[in-house]
Amino acid sequence: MKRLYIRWTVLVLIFGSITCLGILRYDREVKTVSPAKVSSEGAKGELRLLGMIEAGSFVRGVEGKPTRFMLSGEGAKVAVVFSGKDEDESLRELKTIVALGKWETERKQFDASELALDPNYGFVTSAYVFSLIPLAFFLFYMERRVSLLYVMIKEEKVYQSETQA
Amino acid sequence: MISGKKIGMVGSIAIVVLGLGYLALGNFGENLVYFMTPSEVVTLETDRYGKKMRVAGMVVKASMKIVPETLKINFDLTDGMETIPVLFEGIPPDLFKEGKGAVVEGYWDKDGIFHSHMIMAKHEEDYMPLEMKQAGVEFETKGLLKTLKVN
Amino acid sequence: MTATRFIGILRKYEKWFGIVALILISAGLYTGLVTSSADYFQGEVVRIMYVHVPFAQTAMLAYSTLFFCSIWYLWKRDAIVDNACHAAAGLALFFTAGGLITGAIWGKPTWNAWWVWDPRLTSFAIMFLTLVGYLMLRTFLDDVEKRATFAAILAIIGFIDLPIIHFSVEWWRSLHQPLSVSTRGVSIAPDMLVPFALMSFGVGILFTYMLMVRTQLLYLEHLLEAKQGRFLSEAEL
Repeated sequence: MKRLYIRWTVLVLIFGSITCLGILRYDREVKTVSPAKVSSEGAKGELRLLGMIEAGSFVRGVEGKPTRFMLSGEGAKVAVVFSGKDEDESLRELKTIVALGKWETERKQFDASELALDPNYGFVTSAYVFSLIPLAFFLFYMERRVSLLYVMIKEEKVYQSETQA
Repeated sequence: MISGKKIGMVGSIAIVVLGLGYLALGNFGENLVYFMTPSEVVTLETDRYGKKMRVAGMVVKASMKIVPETLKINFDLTDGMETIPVLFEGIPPDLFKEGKGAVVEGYWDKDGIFHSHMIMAKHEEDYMPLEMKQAGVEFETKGLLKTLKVN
Repeated sequence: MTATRFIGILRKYEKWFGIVALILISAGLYTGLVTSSADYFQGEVVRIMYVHVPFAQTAMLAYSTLFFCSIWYLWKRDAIVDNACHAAAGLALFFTAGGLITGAIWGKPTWNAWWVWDPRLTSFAIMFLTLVGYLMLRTFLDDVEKRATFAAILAIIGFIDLPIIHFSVEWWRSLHQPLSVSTRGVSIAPDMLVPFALMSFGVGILFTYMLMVRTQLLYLEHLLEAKQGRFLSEAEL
């Protein structure tokens, strides 16, 4: 019984600390902000802006001109300027994207260096949480019950009589 | 004498038999046509007009137009044989893209337009990083149009 | 084979399966969540594949185990084999539920639907129902041999669903994607194939370990129940 609890405590500690590291990394590197927050509070440094490209605002960049559009989210809109190339023409209106870049406070626009799909980390996390955590609980209760049964059977000498027979 | 156990036993067997019976007797594959193809839609009888159905196909490249000031989107859907115009109202899913598969739910009408209120994106079985795709790598896949099984 | 020898073998080898599964799954999670790239079409959501596909595959592996154990039971009539059947069915139900839940979570951001009645999903849901029916049937029969026989027959009949689940995406029109690993070849980039394979083998071996533990559990419960019953009746006499 004791060994079972030690084994599981070690497992929980290892996976728990890795999860904490993961959350820290998420907060530092891949957390997104909304257009509402950026336009009201402003922001400094590299950041990831998550929002939907407004209908009727998208102007594809041609011949050196940058691509421009409005990104909306949480009730506010901000202008985004993207000078890179949309390689596989994945940009369109009414699509949720993440723009990586800097907020220009004076010109009130967002200079994007990279655009990506909405990462949907919430879905990824819930898929892992809803499968692996029940799995761990299921296995733990199963192993604990088996250990308990062996102890019970030893005390009642049931298992031994079976072996002798 | 009918005991609770007997009812439970019969009930549990019934669950399995009904499930499997649906597979075996209901002509599972033919009955459960999850979607139609544009080729089938254009030959529909008039009594099916206005009835809810699903159609799958590939969104024709450069066919998508967003009507300004509304949430209306026009695009063409093809299965390689026939192409039908679709008028969709709403916000399409993020993975809805020209040159990719889509399943649209709605109705076909005498105006020759498929009116849709719901789009699902259909993806293929290939998975690779963006850099690899841009380098032009292609896998041997079944291909979207083949999975539509146009007769 | 006597039950005690069978249990002895399980107790001796189970830990190796547990350790190998733990290593493979840890490596799979690391490569799947940290080092592998996002997909060109789906983006980051593709990472759900490394848990959805192993769960769904393991559900089918578990049902296949139930099928072979059921045949073995009908052939040899070993009580311990019936315990293994019962254990495999419980695990199959767990992994089927896991496959359905992770599938729904993957379906929403990629297809834009949690659930659709397409052939793959419907046939998978029928496997879920079959297992629920199987486990319910076992609770309603008191006679040990009758229970084991009826359950084994039901499990064998329900096996028809498995080839249907596997080939549904190839035979009929479905929203679910066709097989990524098939006779056509492998259509997953090496970078993503690593976590895919690690998790598939890891969860499969974890299932074997869980089956060993659960077979012991059900055998011991059964033993305890039977022996306690005898002790009671002896005391009464």
